[in-house]
Amino acid sequence: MSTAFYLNNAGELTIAKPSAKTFEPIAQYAVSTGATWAHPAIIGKHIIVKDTAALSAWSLE
Amino acid sequence: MGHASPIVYDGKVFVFTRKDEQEAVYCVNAAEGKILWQKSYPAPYEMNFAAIAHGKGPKATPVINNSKLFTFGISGIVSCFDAVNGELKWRKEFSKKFAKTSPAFGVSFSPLVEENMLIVHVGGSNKGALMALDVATGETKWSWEGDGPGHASPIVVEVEGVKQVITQTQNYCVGVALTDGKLLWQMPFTTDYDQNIVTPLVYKDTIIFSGLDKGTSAFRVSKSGNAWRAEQVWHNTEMSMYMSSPVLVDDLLYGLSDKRRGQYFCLEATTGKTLWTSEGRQGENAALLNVNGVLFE
Repeated sequence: MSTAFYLNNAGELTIAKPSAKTFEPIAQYAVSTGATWAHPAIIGKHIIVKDTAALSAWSLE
Repeated sequence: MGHASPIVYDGKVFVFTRKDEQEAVYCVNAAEGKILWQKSYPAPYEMNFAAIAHGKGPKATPVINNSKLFTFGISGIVSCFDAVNGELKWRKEFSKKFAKTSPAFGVSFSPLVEENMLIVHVGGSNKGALMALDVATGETKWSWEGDGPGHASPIVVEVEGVKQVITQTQNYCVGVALTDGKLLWQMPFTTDYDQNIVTPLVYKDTIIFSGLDKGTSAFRVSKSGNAWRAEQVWHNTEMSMYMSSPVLVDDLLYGLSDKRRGQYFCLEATTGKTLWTSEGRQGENAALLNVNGVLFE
């Protein structure tokens, strides 16, 4: 099953269910207080977020 | 720092970043973030005044192939590191060949490796070269000098048995033969202030392009005799992407339009029809990922 991850440049990670009908967010997390321009990377059950100051890992469970 | 995305290889995370006037590469352990090795080199850069807030990069996401890490810095420095211990294998820069070594807003062409060649678009505004470098030595295998670099990243697609590098350059969408660098086809494609940014996407037998105020369009690349052409299949004028590249999930394309201060949208990849748009104010930019196998309830 696919899930769409949207990380905007303000450090907000939105997880959405792919849908042909509407934008369907499932969850939203603040993963950075700095600007996030880079794509996050997924490794196992972690998502790695790079912002203007640091690299951080977040659990996806 | 920078827009370059972290990448994962062999259970480790590789980060291409900047520390003051140096570009730096870190290899970190994914579980604790412990630094396993780090390397840096001088890479001073003067960012275009209009984009100072974006910092000095690096912007191009590195690539790893066969335990070699390749970086393409904001000022055009190409490096190859041993991914295991960080040892520098080779480094190239092109300031002797080109007066400018990066496009208007800095190198943001994420290189890729295909058939033992590293694909990079070197040079700057109005003069540059899409090049294939030998992964072992950094020597130039071929060079196409038809246009300066854009800010998009390349993809490699096999069409009618011919592998081609497809990308947005400064003024065109192009298909260049992977084996010898010959230009197969090109279409004029320009955006205000040379902001060709969106990485093309393959959907079945079409290539999807977008850009600031350009809408989103799909082209079918084909060959008749020795002549290649790219023919438009659909053009959606409602949804334009700016800095954010789209993703495909099955037959649907998801992206971020720059309208209404950032609006997520979905369109049908077979017809280009807009299926929905989200509320506005989602952000100036967004990194989209199609993540498989992670379940959310």
